[in-house]
Amino acid sequence: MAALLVVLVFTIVAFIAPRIAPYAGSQLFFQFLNDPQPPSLHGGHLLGTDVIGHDMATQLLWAIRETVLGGLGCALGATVIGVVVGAVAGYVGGILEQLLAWLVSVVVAVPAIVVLAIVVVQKSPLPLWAFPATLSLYLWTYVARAVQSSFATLRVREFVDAAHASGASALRLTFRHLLPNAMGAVLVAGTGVVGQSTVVIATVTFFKYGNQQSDRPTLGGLISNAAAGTPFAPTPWWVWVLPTVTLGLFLVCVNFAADSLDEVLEPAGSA
Amino acid sequence: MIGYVARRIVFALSLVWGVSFFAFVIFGLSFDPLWQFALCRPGCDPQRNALIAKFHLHDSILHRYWIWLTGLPSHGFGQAAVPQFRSATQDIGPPLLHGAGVTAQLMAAGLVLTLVFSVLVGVVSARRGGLADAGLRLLAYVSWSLPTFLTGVLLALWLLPTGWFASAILPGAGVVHWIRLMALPAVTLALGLVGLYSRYVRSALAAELRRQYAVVARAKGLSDSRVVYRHALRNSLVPFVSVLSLDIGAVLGACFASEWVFHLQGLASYFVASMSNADPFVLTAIVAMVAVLVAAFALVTDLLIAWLDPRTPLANA
Repeated sequence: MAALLVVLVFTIVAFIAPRIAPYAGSQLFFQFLNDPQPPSLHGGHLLGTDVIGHDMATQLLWAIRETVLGGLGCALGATVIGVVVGAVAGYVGGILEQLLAWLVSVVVAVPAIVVLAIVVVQKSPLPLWAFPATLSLYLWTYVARAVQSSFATLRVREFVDAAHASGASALRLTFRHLLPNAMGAVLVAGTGVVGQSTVVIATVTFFKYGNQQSDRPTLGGLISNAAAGTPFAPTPWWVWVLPTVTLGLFLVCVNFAADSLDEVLEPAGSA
Repeated sequence: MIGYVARRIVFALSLVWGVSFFAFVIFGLSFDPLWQFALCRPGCDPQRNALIAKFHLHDSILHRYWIWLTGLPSHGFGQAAVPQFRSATQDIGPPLLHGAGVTAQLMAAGLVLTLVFSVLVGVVSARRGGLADAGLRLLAYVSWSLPTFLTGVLLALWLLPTGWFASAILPGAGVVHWIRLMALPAVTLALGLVGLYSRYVRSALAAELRRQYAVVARAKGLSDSRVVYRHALRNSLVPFVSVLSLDIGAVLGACFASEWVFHLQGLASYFVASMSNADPFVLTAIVAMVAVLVAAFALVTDLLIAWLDPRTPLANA
């Protein structure tokens, strides 16, 4: 429950980040160039500044927006695609089911960070939706697999026969009868995708073949900057710890929420 | 058994084929190697036309794929369409094979560590219960949730300065050097996976220990550890290895991140280097190599399942 609350707070922060950020994303404080300020209540930099003079609080808020909205957007897209494909394959069964299984194996054989390459290589600035849109074309497989396997067990149940006998069309059967019963599996898989896509987006931005605009910081990019360090002095601890802990906290909470949902909604199938 | 293995091999081949097809088509449509001539037209039109002729760039994508596929046995991956930085020859194959070798070593080392430690953590968790269980589960949770690159960065920050480990930037040879080189990347890879898979071992083992054969074995006077290690453990490994076999692609992605953080000259370094060239032929070759690795490791895990649970293959063969 607490985990779900943290995820919710992150989501809200992601949406309102432009409003609550104390400065503009790219604003530099040249007086602090190579003289990073530690976090303090005074001086207008609550979480300090980084090595080249960015306000850390602003950077962090924009990074949360980029990363969290990416993860959530991807989960949404992946769930929609996955439900449709999984439902069709799970309802029809037979050869379609096997074809889907093969397609899923092909898709998951390629690491997600490789998939993002297609977007990232484009030289022009990336819109916010570029990562989630591409990733959802990849991660839908997880949702489709969950929907299909839950359809496979539901399909043989009596209420399906009853609906069938009373003349329900395939479409009605799928979306009125089967899908509501598979909603638990969908929710669990969708929450899992939030975690996965966040990891992938953070990794890609860490690799720096991601978004390199300084006014669009990402959690992976901030960690990468901190890891690269400076030629003049060791990276100060707050430049390190803040993005690391933020990313870690979000992921732990997302995964914990997915697990709790799994236990509550799918008591039989949980690992 | 032979029928099962044969079917798994056919499946692995179809997987590699599918990935290579999609990669070729998607990369081929997304990236045009003619970008390198954008600034010098019409001065370098002869080279441009030569490149178009050599790589059939004006043919349809499916026709190009057919030429590429049928050329594989004789030409391998062929040559790069965009001149490669720091490379004397333009052949794609040899450096890529070397990179795939490094990646395969890291994968193997990481998966062996994962197997051993998942079982250890899972067994301790399932048998002890209480505080040890709670502590281990919390640790597993955190290590699973952290992205691999973050674990790698933290380990590099804390442990590289100790001097116990070899850096990939400096040359070296021999078994000791290999261990010092691979230890941190492999542990980085394994940490996240152990966090995920020890949970499967734990819950499966707890379930197995409640089943009748385990109770009977104990009632007949077998020691606790004998029941666990001789009887229950083998059965409780099946769900773990099955999930692992489905996740091999994601494991390879984590492997990429670990390689990158520790500067190993594996596939990841070629991949990142080839991104700026936007050469569809190099990118396709890398992704095809990735698919070969995934198919090979998935095949091994499938055979492992067949060995752990003899009913699986014989029922379907």
